[in-house]
Amino acid sequence: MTQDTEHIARRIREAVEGVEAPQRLHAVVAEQTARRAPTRRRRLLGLGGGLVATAAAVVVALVLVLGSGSEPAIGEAVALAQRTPTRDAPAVDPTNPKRVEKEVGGVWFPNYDSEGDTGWRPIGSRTDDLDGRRAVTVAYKGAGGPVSYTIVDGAPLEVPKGVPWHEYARFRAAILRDDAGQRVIAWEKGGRTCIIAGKGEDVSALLEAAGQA
Amino acid sequence: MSAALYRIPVTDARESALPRLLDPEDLGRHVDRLFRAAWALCGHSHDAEDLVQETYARVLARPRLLRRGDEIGYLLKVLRNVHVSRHRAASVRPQEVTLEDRAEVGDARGRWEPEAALEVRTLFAAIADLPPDFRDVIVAIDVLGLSYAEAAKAVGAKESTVTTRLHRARTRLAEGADRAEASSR
Repeated sequence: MTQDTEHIARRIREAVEGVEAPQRLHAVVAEQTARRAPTRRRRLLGLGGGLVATAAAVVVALVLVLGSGSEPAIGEAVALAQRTPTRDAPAVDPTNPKRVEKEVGGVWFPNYDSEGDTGWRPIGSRTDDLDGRRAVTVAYKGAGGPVSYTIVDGAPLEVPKGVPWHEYARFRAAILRDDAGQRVIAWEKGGRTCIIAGKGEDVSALLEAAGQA
Repeated sequence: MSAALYRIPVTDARESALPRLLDPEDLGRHVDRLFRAAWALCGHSHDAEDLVQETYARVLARPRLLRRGDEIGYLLKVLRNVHVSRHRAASVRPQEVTLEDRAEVGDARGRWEPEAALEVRTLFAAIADLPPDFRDVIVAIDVLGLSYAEAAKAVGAKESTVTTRLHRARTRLAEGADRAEASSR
Protein backbone atom coordinates (compact mmCIF):
# COMPACT_ATOMS: atom_id res chain seq x y z
CA MET A 1 0.00 0.00 0.00
CA THR A 2 2.78 2.40 0.86
CA GLN A 3 4.80 1.51 -2.24
CA ASP A 4 3.04 4.10 -4.37
CA THR A 5 3.93 6.79 -1.85
CA GLU A 6 7.53 5.68 -1.48
CA HIS A 7 8.72 8.60 -3.61
CA ILE A 8 7.30 10.99 -1.01
CA ALA A 9 9.11 9.11 1.75
CA ARG A 10 12.33 9.29 -0.22
CA ARG A 11 12.04 13.06 -0.57
CA ILE A 12 11.35 13.43 3.14
CA ARG A 13 14.37 11.32 4.03
CA GLU A 14 16.58 13.29 1.66
CA ALA A 15 15.35 16.56 3.11
CA VAL A 16 15.82 15.68 6.78
CA GLU A 17 19.01 13.67 6.75
CA GLY A 18 21.23 16.74 6.87
CA VAL A 19 19.35 18.33 9.77
CA GLU A 20 21.43 18.38 12.91
CA ALA A 21 20.57 19.52 16.39
CA PRO A 22 22.15 22.84 17.41
CA GLN A 23 25.41 22.57 19.28
CA ARG A 24 23.85 24.11 22.38
CA LEU A 25 21.34 21.23 22.50
CA HIS A 26 24.13 18.69 22.16
CA ALA A 27 25.92 20.40 25.03
CA VAL A 28 22.82 20.42 27.26
CA VAL A 29 22.10 16.73 26.60
CA ALA A 30 25.75 15.80 27.18
CA GLU A 31 25.55 17.53 30.54
CA GLN A 32 22.25 15.82 31.38
CA THR A 33 23.57 12.34 30.56
CA ALA A 34 26.90 12.93 32.31
CA ARG A 35 25.07 14.03 35.46
CA ARG A 36 23.02 10.87 35.41
CA ALA A 37 25.80 8.39 34.65
CA PRO A 38 27.62 8.33 38.04
CA THR A 39 24.33 7.67 39.83
CA ARG A 40 23.73 4.75 37.55
CA ARG A 41 27.12 3.27 38.28
CA ARG A 42 26.52 3.47 42.01
CA ARG A 43 23.19 1.79 41.59
CA LEU A 44 24.61 -0.99 39.48
CA LEU A 45 27.31 -1.63 42.07
CA GLY A 46 24.61 -1.81 44.71
CA LEU A 47 22.78 -4.49 42.81
CA GLY A 48 25.22 -7.14 43.89
CA GLY A 49 25.39 -8.33 40.34
CA GLY A 50 21.65 -8.93 40.24
CA LEU A 51 20.94 -7.79 36.74
CA VAL A 52 24.16 -9.31 35.53
CA ALA A 53 23.05 -12.57 37.08
CA THR A 54 19.82 -12.51 35.10
CA ALA A 55 21.83 -12.40 31.91
CA ALA A 56 23.29 -15.73 32.91
CA ALA A 57 19.87 -17.31 33.29
CA VAL A 58 19.45 -20.56 31.48
CA VAL A 59 16.91 -20.82 28.67
CA VAL A 60 13.87 -22.56 30.06
CA ALA A 61 10.49 -23.15 28.52
CA LEU A 62 8.18 -25.03 30.77
CA VAL A 63 4.50 -25.67 30.97
CA LEU A 64 3.25 -26.00 34.50
CA VAL A 65 -0.08 -26.78 36.01
CA LEU A 66 -0.60 -24.38 38.88
CA GLY A 67 -3.14 -24.04 41.58
CA SER A 68 -3.26 -27.65 42.60
CA GLY A 69 -1.90 -26.95 46.10
CA SER A 70 -3.81 -25.52 49.03
CA GLU A 71 -2.36 -22.03 48.62
CA PRO A 72 -3.72 -19.85 45.81
CA ALA A 73 -1.37 -19.40 42.92
CA ILE A 74 -0.38 -16.36 40.91
CA GLY A 75 -2.23 -17.79 37.93
CA GLU A 76 -5.50 -17.77 39.84
CA ALA A 77 -5.01 -14.15 40.83
CA VAL A 78 -4.34 -13.20 37.21
CA ALA A 79 -7.42 -15.10 36.05
CA LEU A 80 -9.55 -13.14 38.55
CA ALA A 81 -8.01 -9.88 37.43
CA GLN A 82 -9.16 -10.45 33.86
CA ARG A 83 -12.82 -10.25 34.83
CA THR A 84 -14.73 -7.09 34.05
CA PRO A 85 -14.25 -4.31 36.62
CA THR A 86 -17.25 -3.98 38.89
CA ARG A 87 -16.44 -0.55 40.30
CA ASP A 88 -15.44 2.81 38.95
CA ALA A 89 -11.81 3.72 38.57
CA PRO A 90 -10.33 4.98 41.84
CA ALA A 91 -9.68 8.69 41.98
CA VAL A 92 -6.23 10.18 42.31
CA ASP A 93 -5.26 10.49 45.97
CA PRO A 94 -5.48 14.23 46.74
CA THR A 95 -2.76 13.85 49.39
CA ASN A 96 -0.37 12.10 47.00
CA PRO A 97 -0.88 12.45 43.24
CA LYS A 98 1.49 9.54 42.60
CA ARG A 99 -1.14 7.09 43.77
CA VAL A 100 -4.87 6.45 43.52
CA GLU A 101 -7.27 6.05 46.41
CA LYS A 102 -7.05 2.30 46.73
CA GLU A 103 -4.74 0.09 48.79
CA VAL A 104 -4.34 -3.38 50.19
CA GLY A 105 -2.56 -3.78 53.53
CA GLY A 106 -0.86 -0.40 53.15
CA VAL A 107 0.31 -1.08 49.59
CA TRP A 108 -1.18 1.56 47.32
CA PHE A 109 -2.04 1.39 43.65
CA PRO A 110 -0.02 3.87 41.61
CA ASN A 111 -1.30 6.71 39.51
CA TYR A 112 0.72 6.06 36.37
CA ASP A 113 -0.57 9.18 34.75
CA SER A 114 1.06 11.41 37.38
CA GLU A 115 4.32 11.76 35.48
CA GLY A 116 2.79 11.58 32.07
CA ASP A 117 5.16 9.12 30.48
CA THR A 118 3.41 5.76 30.89
CA GLY A 119 0.02 7.22 30.13
CA TRP A 120 -1.79 4.36 31.85
CA ARG A 121 -5.16 5.60 33.02
CA PRO A 122 -7.22 3.74 35.65
CA ILE A 123 -10.53 2.63 34.12
CA GLY A 124 -12.11 0.47 36.81
CA SER A 125 -11.55 -1.85 39.73
CA ARG A 126 -12.83 -5.01 41.34
CA THR A 127 -12.36 -6.92 44.59
CA ASP A 128 -12.33 -10.71 44.72
CA ASP A 129 -11.94 -13.42 47.28
CA LEU A 130 -8.98 -15.64 46.52
CA ASP A 131 -9.24 -18.61 48.87
CA GLY A 132 -10.02 -16.34 51.80
CA ARG A 133 -7.64 -13.57 50.79
CA ARG A 134 -8.68 -10.20 49.47
CA ALA A 135 -7.47 -9.64 45.92
CA VAL A 136 -7.99 -6.11 44.62
CA THR A 137 -7.48 -5.26 40.98
CA VAL A 138 -7.26 -1.89 39.30
CA ALA A 139 -7.62 -2.02 35.53
CA TYR A 140 -5.63 0.53 33.56
CA LYS A 141 -5.89 1.49 29.93
CA GLY A 142 -2.41 1.16 28.47
CA ALA A 143 -1.17 2.26 25.06
CA GLY A 144 -1.24 -1.31 23.81
CA GLY A 145 -4.42 -2.44 25.56
CA PRO A 146 -5.77 -3.10 29.04
CA VAL A 147 -3.41 -3.80 31.91
CA SER A 148 -4.49 -5.30 35.21
CA TYR A 149 -2.72 -4.57 38.47
CA THR A 150 -3.63 -6.84 41.34
CA ILE A 151 -2.55 -6.78 44.97
CA VAL A 152 -3.26 -9.93 46.97
CA ASP A 153 -3.56 -9.62 50.74
CA GLY A 154 -1.91 -12.06 53.11
CA ALA A 155 1.42 -13.82 52.92
CA PRO A 156 3.20 -13.56 49.57
CA LEU A 157 2.12 -16.06 46.93
CA GLU A 158 4.72 -18.46 45.72
CA VAL A 159 5.88 -18.23 42.16
CA PRO A 160 5.74 -21.43 40.10
CA LYS A 161 8.59 -23.81 40.67
CA GLY A 162 11.47 -23.20 38.31
CA VAL A 163 10.66 -19.55 37.63
CA PRO A 164 13.68 -17.41 38.47
CA TRP A 165 13.56 -14.08 40.25
CA HIS A 166 15.13 -11.29 38.24
CA GLU A 167 16.90 -8.64 40.29
CA TYR A 168 16.42 -5.02 39.28
CA ALA A 169 17.47 -1.77 40.85
CA ARG A 170 14.54 -1.41 43.21
CA PHE A 171 12.90 -4.81 43.36
CA ARG A 172 12.99 -8.39 42.18
CA ALA A 173 10.37 -9.75 39.84
CA ALA A 174 9.21 -13.01 38.34
CA ILE A 175 8.37 -12.83 34.64
CA LEU A 176 5.72 -15.21 33.36
CA ARG A 177 3.32 -15.64 30.51
CA ASP A 178 -0.14 -17.10 30.73
CA ASP A 179 -1.77 -19.40 28.25
CA ALA A 180 -3.65 -16.46 26.71
CA GLY A 181 -0.35 -14.85 25.77
CA GLN A 182 -0.43 -12.22 28.51
CA ARG A 183 2.81 -11.10 29.99
CA VAL A 184 2.75 -11.28 33.77
CA ILE A 185 5.09 -9.62 36.24
CA ALA A 186 4.89 -10.65 39.90
CA TRP A 187 6.78 -9.09 42.78
CA GLU A 188 6.45 -8.49 46.49
CA LYS A 189 5.89 -5.17 48.17
CA GLY A 190 5.13 -4.54 51.81
CA GLY A 191 4.70 -8.28 52.33
CA ARG A 192 1.94 -8.46 49.69
CA THR A 193 1.99 -9.96 46.23
CA CYS A 194 1.65 -7.50 43.38
CA ILE A 195 0.90 -8.70 39.87
CA ILE A 196 0.77 -6.75 36.63
CA ALA A 197 -0.57 -8.49 33.54
CA GLY A 198 -1.17 -7.20 30.03
CA LYS A 199 -1.07 -8.50 26.51
CA GLY A 200 -0.45 -5.28 24.62
CA GLU A 201 2.50 -4.02 26.65
CA ASP A 202 5.98 -5.49 26.39
CA VAL A 203 7.92 -6.88 29.32
CA SER A 204 10.05 -3.75 29.65
CA ALA A 205 7.01 -1.53 30.03
CA LEU A 206 5.46 -3.83 32.61
CA LEU A 207 8.70 -4.11 34.55
CA GLU A 208 9.11 -0.37 34.52
CA ALA A 209 5.57 0.03 35.81
CA ALA A 210 6.27 -2.50 38.54
CA GLY A 211 9.44 -0.64 39.49
CA GLN A 212 7.53 2.63 39.78
CA ALA A 213 4.82 1.18 42.00
CA MET B 1 -10.73 -23.08 42.12
CA SER B 2 -9.75 -24.85 38.97
CA ALA B 3 -6.13 -25.21 38.08
CA ALA B 4 -4.80 -22.65 35.66
CA LEU B 5 -2.47 -23.68 32.92
CA TYR B 6 0.55 -21.42 32.89
CA ARG B 7 3.37 -21.28 30.47
CA ILE B 8 6.58 -19.92 31.78
CA PRO B 9 8.03 -17.90 28.99
CA VAL B 10 11.36 -18.46 27.46
CA THR B 11 13.71 -16.85 29.92
CA ASP B 12 16.39 -16.05 27.50
CA ALA B 13 20.03 -16.06 28.43
CA ARG B 14 20.88 -13.79 25.52
CA GLU B 15 21.49 -10.34 26.88
CA SER B 16 19.55 -8.72 24.06
CA ALA B 17 16.37 -10.54 25.04
CA LEU B 18 16.37 -9.41 28.64
CA PRO B 19 15.38 -5.94 29.69
CA ARG B 20 18.39 -4.07 30.99
CA LEU B 21 19.01 -0.77 32.65
CA LEU B 22 19.25 1.99 30.10
CA ASP B 23 22.72 3.43 29.91
CA PRO B 24 22.44 7.24 29.91
CA GLU B 25 25.68 7.46 27.97
CA ASP B 26 24.04 5.56 25.10
CA LEU B 27 21.45 8.29 24.68
CA GLY B 28 23.69 11.12 23.54
CA ARG B 29 24.09 9.66 20.05
CA HIS B 30 20.37 10.03 19.34
CA VAL B 31 20.19 13.82 19.76
CA ASP B 32 20.17 14.67 16.04
CA ARG B 33 17.51 12.12 15.12
CA LEU B 34 15.36 13.08 18.06
CA PHE B 35 15.69 16.75 17.21
CA ARG B 36 14.38 16.06 13.68
CA ALA B 37 11.47 14.09 15.10
CA ALA B 38 10.71 16.85 17.61
CA TRP B 39 10.79 19.54 14.92
CA ALA B 40 8.42 17.53 12.74
CA LEU B 41 6.09 16.98 15.69
CA CYS B 42 5.82 20.59 16.78
CA GLY B 43 6.73 22.48 13.60
CA HIS B 44 9.19 24.91 15.19
CA SER B 45 12.91 24.42 15.68
CA HIS B 46 13.13 26.35 18.95
CA ASP B 47 10.21 24.40 20.44
CA ALA B 48 11.91 21.23 19.22
CA GLU B 49 14.99 22.05 21.26
CA ASP B 50 12.89 22.45 24.41
CA LEU B 51 11.03 19.26 23.61
CA VAL B 52 14.22 17.22 23.23
CA GLN B 53 15.70 18.67 26.38
CA GLU B 54 12.57 17.86 28.39
CA THR B 55 12.44 14.37 26.90
CA TYR B 56 15.99 13.64 28.02
CA ALA B 57 15.28 15.09 31.46
CA ARG B 58 12.27 12.83 31.83
CA VAL B 59 14.00 9.69 30.58
CA LEU B 60 17.03 10.32 32.77
CA ALA B 61 14.97 11.09 35.86
CA ARG B 62 15.07 7.46 36.96
CA PRO B 63 16.45 4.09 35.88
CA ARG B 64 14.75 2.67 32.79
CA LEU B 65 14.50 -0.92 31.71
CA LEU B 66 14.81 -1.49 28.00
CA ARG B 67 15.86 -4.14 25.56
CA ARG B 68 19.06 -3.47 23.63
CA GLY B 69 18.37 -1.48 20.48
CA ASP B 70 15.07 -0.11 21.76
CA GLU B 71 16.47 3.28 22.81
CA ILE B 72 15.35 5.39 19.86
CA GLY B 73 11.84 3.92 19.80
CA TYR B 74 11.55 4.52 23.52
CA LEU B 75 12.83 8.08 23.20
CA LEU B 76 10.24 8.75 20.50
CA LYS B 77 7.49 7.39 22.72
CA VAL B 78 8.50 9.73 25.55
CA LEU B 79 9.01 12.64 23.12
CA ARG B 80 5.50 12.16 21.80
CA ASN B 81 4.05 12.04 25.32
CA VAL B 82 5.95 15.16 26.34
CA HIS B 83 4.68 16.93 23.23
CA VAL B 84 1.08 15.91 23.94
CA SER B 85 1.37 17.02 27.58
CA ARG B 86 2.81 20.38 26.56
CA HIS B 87 0.16 20.83 23.91
CA ARG B 88 -2.59 20.05 26.41
CA ALA B 89 -1.13 22.47 28.95
CA ALA B 90 -0.75 25.17 26.31
CA SER B 91 -4.34 24.77 25.14
CA VAL B 92 -5.71 25.75 28.55
CA ARG B 93 -3.69 28.91 28.93
CA PRO B 94 -3.53 32.01 26.76
CA GLN B 95 -1.22 31.59 23.83
CA GLU B 96 1.98 33.53 23.60
CA VAL B 97 2.78 34.49 20.05
CA THR B 98 6.41 35.31 19.50
CA LEU B 99 7.63 37.46 16.67
CA GLU B 100 9.14 34.39 15.06
CA ASP B 101 5.76 32.59 15.22
CA ARG B 102 4.07 35.51 13.54
CA ALA B 103 6.59 35.53 10.76
CA GLU B 104 6.02 31.83 10.15
CA VAL B 105 2.26 32.03 9.91
CA GLY B 106 1.35 32.21 6.28
CA ASP B 107 4.78 31.64 4.89
CA ALA B 108 5.73 28.25 6.13
CA ARG B 109 3.17 26.24 7.99
CA GLY B 110 1.25 23.72 5.95
CA ARG B 111 2.94 24.40 2.63
CA TRP B 112 5.52 22.04 1.31
CA GLU B 113 6.44 22.03 -2.32
CA PRO B 114 8.13 18.76 -3.16
CA GLU B 115 9.01 19.80 -6.71
CA ALA B 116 10.68 22.97 -5.56
CA ALA B 117 13.85 23.08 -3.58
CA LEU B 118 13.04 21.34 -0.36
CA GLU B 119 12.98 23.62 2.53
CA VAL B 120 13.21 21.72 5.76
CA ARG B 121 11.37 24.25 7.84
CA THR B 122 8.39 24.16 5.51
CA LEU B 123 8.42 20.38 5.35
CA PHE B 124 8.46 19.99 9.13
CA ALA B 125 5.69 22.57 9.48
CA ALA B 126 3.58 20.65 6.96
CA ILE B 127 4.13 17.39 8.83
CA ALA B 128 3.28 19.08 12.13
CA ASP B 129 0.00 20.25 10.60
CA LEU B 130 -1.14 16.70 9.82
CA PRO B 131 -3.70 15.07 12.13
CA PRO B 132 -1.78 13.63 15.12
CA ASP B 133 -2.26 9.96 14.18
CA PHE B 134 -0.90 10.57 10.68
CA ARG B 135 1.82 12.91 11.86
CA ASP B 136 3.12 10.43 14.44
CA VAL B 137 3.67 7.58 11.96
CA ILE B 138 5.34 9.77 9.37
CA VAL B 139 7.65 11.11 12.07
CA ALA B 140 8.44 7.60 13.30
CA ILE B 141 9.05 6.02 9.89
CA ASP B 142 10.04 8.68 7.39
CA VAL B 143 11.74 11.20 9.67
CA LEU B 144 13.21 8.96 12.37
CA GLY B 145 13.72 5.88 10.21
CA LEU B 146 12.07 3.31 12.48
CA SER B 147 10.78 0.04 11.07
CA TYR B 148 7.02 -0.45 10.88
CA ALA B 149 7.18 -2.77 13.89
CA GLU B 150 9.20 -0.28 15.93
CA ALA B 151 6.88 2.53 14.91
CA ALA B 152 3.83 0.49 15.88
CA LYS B 153 5.31 -0.01 19.32
CA ALA B 154 6.24 3.65 19.69
CA VAL B 155 2.82 5.01 18.72
CA GLY B 156 0.83 2.22 20.41
CA ALA B 157 -0.94 0.94 17.30
CA LYS B 158 -1.04 -2.24 15.25
CA GLU B 159 1.43 -2.60 12.42
CA SER B 160 -1.42 -2.79 9.88
CA THR B 161 -2.84 0.45 11.28
CA VAL B 162 0.55 2.10 10.99
CA THR B 163 0.79 1.05 7.33
CA THR B 164 -2.61 2.55 6.55
CA ARG B 165 -1.91 5.76 8.43
CA LEU B 166 1.47 6.15 6.77
CA HIS B 167 -0.05 5.83 3.32
CA ARG B 168 -2.69 8.42 4.14
CA ALA B 169 -0.19 10.73 5.79
CA ARG B 170 2.10 10.72 2.77
CA THR B 171 -0.85 11.20 0.44
CA ARG B 172 -2.10 14.18 2.45
CA LEU B 173 1.34 15.70 2.48
CA ALA B 174 1.58 15.36 -1.30
CA GLU B 175 -1.95 16.76 -1.78
CA GLY B 176 -1.07 19.74 0.40
CA ALA B 177 1.98 20.35 -1.73
CA ASP B 178 -0.08 20.13 -4.94
CA ARG B 179 -2.59 22.65 -3.59
CA ALA B 180 0.19 25.00 -2.57
CA GLU B 181 1.74 24.68 -6.00
CA ALA B 182 -1.58 25.33 -7.76
CA SER B 183 -2.31 28.41 -5.65
CA SER B 184 1.13 29.85 -6.31
CA ARG B 185 0.66 29.73 -10.11
